[in-house]
Amino acid sequence: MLQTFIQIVLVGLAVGAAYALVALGYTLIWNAVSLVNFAQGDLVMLGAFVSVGWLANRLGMPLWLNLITMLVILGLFGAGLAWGIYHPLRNAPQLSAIVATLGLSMALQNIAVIIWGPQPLNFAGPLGTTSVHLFGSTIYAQYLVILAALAAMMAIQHVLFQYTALGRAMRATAQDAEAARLMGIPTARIIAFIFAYATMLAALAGWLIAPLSYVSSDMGVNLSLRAFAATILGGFGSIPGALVGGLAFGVIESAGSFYISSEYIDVIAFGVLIAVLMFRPQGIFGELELERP
Amino acid sequence: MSTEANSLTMRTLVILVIAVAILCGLLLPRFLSVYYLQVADVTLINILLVLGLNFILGFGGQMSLAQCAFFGIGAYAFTLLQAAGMPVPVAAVGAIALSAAVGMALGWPTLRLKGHYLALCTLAFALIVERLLVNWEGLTNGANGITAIPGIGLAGENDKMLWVLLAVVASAYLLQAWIANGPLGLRIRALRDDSLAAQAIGVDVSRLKIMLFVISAAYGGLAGICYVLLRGYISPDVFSWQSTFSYLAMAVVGGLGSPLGAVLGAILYTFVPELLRFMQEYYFAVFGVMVILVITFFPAGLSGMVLSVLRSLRRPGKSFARSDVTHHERAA
Repeated sequence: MLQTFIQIVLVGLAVGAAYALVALGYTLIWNAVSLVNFAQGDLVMLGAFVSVGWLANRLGMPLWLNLITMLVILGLFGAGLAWGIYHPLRNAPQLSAIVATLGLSMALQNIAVIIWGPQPLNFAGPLGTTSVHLFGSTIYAQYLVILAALAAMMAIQHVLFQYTALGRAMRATAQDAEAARLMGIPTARIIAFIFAYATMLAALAGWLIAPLSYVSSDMGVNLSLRAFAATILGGFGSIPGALVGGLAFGVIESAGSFYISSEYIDVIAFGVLIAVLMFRPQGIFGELELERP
Repeated sequence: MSTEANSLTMRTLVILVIAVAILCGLLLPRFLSVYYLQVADVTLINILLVLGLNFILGFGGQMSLAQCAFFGIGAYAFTLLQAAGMPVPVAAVGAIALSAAVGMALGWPTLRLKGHYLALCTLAFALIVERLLVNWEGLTNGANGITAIPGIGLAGENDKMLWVLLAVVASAYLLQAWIANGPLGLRIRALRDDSLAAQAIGVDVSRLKIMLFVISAAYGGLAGICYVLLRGYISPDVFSWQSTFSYLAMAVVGGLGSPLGAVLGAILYTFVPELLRFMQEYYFAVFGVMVILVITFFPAGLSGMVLSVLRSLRRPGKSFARSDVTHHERAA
């Protein structure tokens, strides 16, 4: 009983960690430029395809080199998005910019089909289907890799944001781009950095979950939605919120599908989400941004 | 602007819309193949959906992403009511009433939610409705859908359905323009531009928001009925939660808060992909890039561009549909 419970929580946390990585991307981009990038999940897909379709299957790179090369490629792509999508639309109405990211999502999914074909790809990852025993329960080792990767990423992010000049400039730009520019921070370049970093987080999530599922052009759609849900659950614009929201949503899904019904899992998970918002309209860590009823 | 000028401009608009509808009904079957005629019919249904979305999103400034759910509720309710032996008009009224009631049930508890929080809540609702349509097999026959729905006996007859849909869409268009031009429209615009100020001058903001949800949902339900009449079969994938983003895109690309924008956006979004089919596997990628370009060059939507051209051609002071005021709207 307890073993099953631990297993469910661990799997939920690991899946939630992937949501959290994507949700962090939403949050960072939102904080920096007030844009909800609905193509964030498709960057997960793109990362997985570059890694599996090109670097692993074509070039046969060793895994560590594969990961680093993929992150560099996707980072450059993310910076490109800042120039190609955000920059021309920085003065457009917010909704228009959101719709542009929907267009981007559509384009990315179909470009992926053109480049890598309609068949889903397989990826063994570092561990394949190795299982480990933990507290008497058995789970895929990959789940633990995901959790470890999230922890490592958060440590790196903490150091980056708190102790480096680049991180400070990123935080300043996110807080108030106008003031940051007046202080001599090259905000346009910093925003490109933020896009690159957010894209790398999403791509990392893709690399991590690829061994657990197939790599397919529509794998980002569900991640986009669930990461957005996680962002809202945690409180929009809050970095700890994105983290906690992602993990919590993963556990809700995992527990709901085991204990209640796997058929109605979406109904349960999103029903819980709506219920939470009824009582806490600003999410867990969000700042109160209430509409007068 | 005096009420006299208003009623005059409304009369012009009525004549114009009816004339365009009749012209479309006469000309489209002449120039379009059977396949494209069906695309035209689907376009009209999309116009209806986007007109509905316009109430809540364009006029109310409320980021609702539940339009596909009302579309589905209307379609399934009509189908099931007809299957239960009700005559078509009763089933239609019942289906619209149910959509509207669900709209109220969604609009009331989400009154406190704002911006992205409302967007996610309505999106979650759309997803839940879709999952119910798939999994509640006893009622909906699950993923297989329901086939051979009698409707009004015009399923698949694209040319006759064209007239039916033109009549429905023209009425829906005029109703929206009429509401937007009337006293209710003023209150709606006050809500959108500054809800606190609107409240201060005595606008019942809560009631107005719920009402916008209800009208929006009723339009969605009506579109659902139209879909059943056109196709004669339904399945949950037509009402998938992802499709709601297409309607959002149509509304924004066309231009928010303008019935003309709904028409232009739906036409662009439904017809252009068909025209791009010659590019084969590239066509959706190209279309995605096109959406980005349209948004980049016309951030206020296509109707904004069309109307500014029209306005420059007309005498000042007599705009013929005051609802056609495009608006730079920040969602949050």
